[in-house]
Amino acid sequence: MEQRGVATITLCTEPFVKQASTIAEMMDMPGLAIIPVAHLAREDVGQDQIHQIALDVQARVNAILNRPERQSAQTQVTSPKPEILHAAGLLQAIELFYERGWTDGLPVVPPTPTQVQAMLASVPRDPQEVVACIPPRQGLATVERIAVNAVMAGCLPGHLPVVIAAVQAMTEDRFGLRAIQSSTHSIAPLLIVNGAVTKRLDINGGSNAFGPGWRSNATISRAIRLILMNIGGSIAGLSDKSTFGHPGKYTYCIAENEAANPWEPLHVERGLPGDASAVTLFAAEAPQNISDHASGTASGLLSTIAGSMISLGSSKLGEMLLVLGPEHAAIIAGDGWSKADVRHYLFEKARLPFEKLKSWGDFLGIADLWPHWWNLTDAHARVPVVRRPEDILIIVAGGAGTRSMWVPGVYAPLSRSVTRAITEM
Amino acid sequence: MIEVLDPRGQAMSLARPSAPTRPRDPSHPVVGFMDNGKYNVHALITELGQLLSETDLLKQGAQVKKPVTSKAAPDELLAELARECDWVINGVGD
Repeated sequence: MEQRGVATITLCTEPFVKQASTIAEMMDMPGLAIIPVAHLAREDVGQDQIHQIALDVQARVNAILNRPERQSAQTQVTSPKPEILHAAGLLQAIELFYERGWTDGLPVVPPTPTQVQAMLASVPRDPQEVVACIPPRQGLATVERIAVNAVMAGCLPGHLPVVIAAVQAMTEDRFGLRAIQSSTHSIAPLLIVNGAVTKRLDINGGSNAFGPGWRSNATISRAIRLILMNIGGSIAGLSDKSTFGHPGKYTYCIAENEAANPWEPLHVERGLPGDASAVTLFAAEAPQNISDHASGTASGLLSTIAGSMISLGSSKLGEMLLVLGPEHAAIIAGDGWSKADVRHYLFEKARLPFEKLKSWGDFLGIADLWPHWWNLTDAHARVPVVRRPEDILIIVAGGAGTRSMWVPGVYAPLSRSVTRAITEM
Repeated sequence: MIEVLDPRGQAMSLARPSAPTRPRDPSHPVVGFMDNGKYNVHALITELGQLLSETDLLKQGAQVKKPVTSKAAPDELLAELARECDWVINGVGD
């Protein structure tokens, strides 16, 4: 609205005032009118309390309406070249980056011009080309600035094309990055890498796929986090108000174990050729273990998996990712089940009784997102955890062992996973 | 002594028009509301709209609701408010 010449007043609860003002400053709106209000997103807040909150807000609104008009912000143009800083040595440079708030909490590799040049040499692009604009700061992710952060993360030059593809994927509108950057939800972009690049760069999709131990997995995703922080302005505790954070905000990257996958891999399902390389960005909660050491049939195993996917408090109606361990995938495929069969089975079996859902506070806020075909008046109905079978993503990863993982996503339509081909390899 | 590069870079400028999009009546500004869809927000801004209207110092404009709480409002919704309002009260962030 401010960009359209209309002055605004933003209401937010006290713990989020600092976040709102921080983001407003990042977006050239210093002095944005923000009024703190009492927390009211609870069903036990009655009309009397709402009336009192409205009275408090009214007094502040009147004061704001009567103050002199703010001046419009001026266009800010800064140098497109990275600023050069000086440090006595590498260790001092590491400390300098801590002082500036430019790390994820771990030491970074100091990005010297020589190292950044070596990184840039791995892609045939103009270093000043803007790949994307990262919210909330609206930072311009040039190839050069992406390379600076990739060096800091410990990437090798060969990793840069994967990092660039991931930046392109996560800034597509349907990924919903703006909300992911600032939400209280514990979510992080999970990178799923497919194709020949996984072998070329040794991106792990086998034992310990979610870490630790593989440089490519660790550093490619860490580069994304540093880009989100440094270019995008996602500052933990200020603009990033995640209630708990997420271990995957340090790094969260796996390869699909295509050698152990009895079906077509994820990137082929998404329309890319089998010999292509690709990265899929999925806004994900933490991975959750599914143990089943006994089932020897597809239906038995999937019954366990469906039971694991049902939980009242995790996000509903967005996408979910099922990471089948190779042994579980072999059992299911051995019974002749396709990926589509798995999706349909889980869509039918992973359901919550409506009676339980009615006691879940969030249900009230998202009732209009439930599928139209679902009868909201049927107390005996069983409600699916996704809106359609296609919203269950399935990949095969991990090593030996009779385990799988499921990874909840976020509310639809806030974020959809995005797959992007990795070019320039 | 070594040289290192700043990782932040330039931010896109969000230049705003210097003039409002509609003629203003400073004595009676039109105030609109954007409900972000969170629980109880509709009740709050309805109540607030009533209280503000009673002062006779402003006119109440449109009251719209974002289709998705955590995403930016669609252009057409913003355009509707911009056409009609001098001020927009939005919320509630939490």
